[in-house]
Amino acid sequence: MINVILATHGSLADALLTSSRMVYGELPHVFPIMLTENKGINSFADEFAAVLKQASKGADGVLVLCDLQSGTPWNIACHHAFDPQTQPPVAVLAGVNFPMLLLSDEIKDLQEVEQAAAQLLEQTQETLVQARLAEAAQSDDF
Amino acid sequence: MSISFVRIDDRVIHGQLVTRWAKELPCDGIIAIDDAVAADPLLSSVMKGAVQDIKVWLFDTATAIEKLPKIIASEKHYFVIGKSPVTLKRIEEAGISLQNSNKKINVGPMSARATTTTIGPNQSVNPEEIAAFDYLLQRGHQIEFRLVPDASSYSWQDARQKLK
Repeated sequence: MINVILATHGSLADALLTSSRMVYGELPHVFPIMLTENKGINSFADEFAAVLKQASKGADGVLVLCDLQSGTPWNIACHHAFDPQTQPPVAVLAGVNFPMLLLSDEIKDLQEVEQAAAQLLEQTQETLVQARLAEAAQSDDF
Repeated sequence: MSISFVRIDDRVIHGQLVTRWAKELPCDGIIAIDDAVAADPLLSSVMKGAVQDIKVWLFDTATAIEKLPKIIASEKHYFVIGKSPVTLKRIEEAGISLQNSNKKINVGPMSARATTTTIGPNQSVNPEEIAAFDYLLQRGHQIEFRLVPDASSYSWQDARQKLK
């Protein structure tokens, strides 16, 4: 089982989870954590460690979805991901969007967090699309 | 039997949701049925364009009733998605069975509207829809409210308790 930490600047993590309830219902494998202006980087780091501990319970891996590469949530997540002591293993993705959060529902039953990260990244890339019209004619070849 | 999945979803073709189900159950094509959407060529085309790799047909109820026997007789596996239980009721009333290899009617989002009662997360029904669900249950269909394959679910009988 892979648990997911959703780590963002400001209230984005909570807002994404609220939106996801409209479409997928509850996502109990997702743990939100937010860096706010009045909470410093140090207290965010402490909070992140506590959330990671919680998300690690019973999990084969933890996948951290960050809003922005090289932001504080990303830096702190990477600190854990690349620490050889970290167990279970942690992988980090940046650029979380609404489809990526929803699609994380499909990787939660995997066991390898690296594989989960690769699969989720690939599926999310397909969600960035431009609207297009389909052909109007409908054939009868069922 | 070539219907592999029957769903009610008030967004009809709900891009990512329908592709999520198509990963779980055999799907060679999607038959989407709604009078208002079928009457709007632009919306129809946008909806069909939103699903890649799977063929989508969009019919009004009368056309669906005409086409479904051929669809059911096919060797391929089709998803049938109606915007409302009332649409599915009209199809069964026309003598077409929506029995399918998933052995149930799945219900996804049904938005809150003026005369609806909420029965679950993003799931609300009005009196006409209640009557339609009752009819479908009477016709021997198991009715399961479940947004995505792994999500929690409840039956129409469970929902009925909340409406008393």
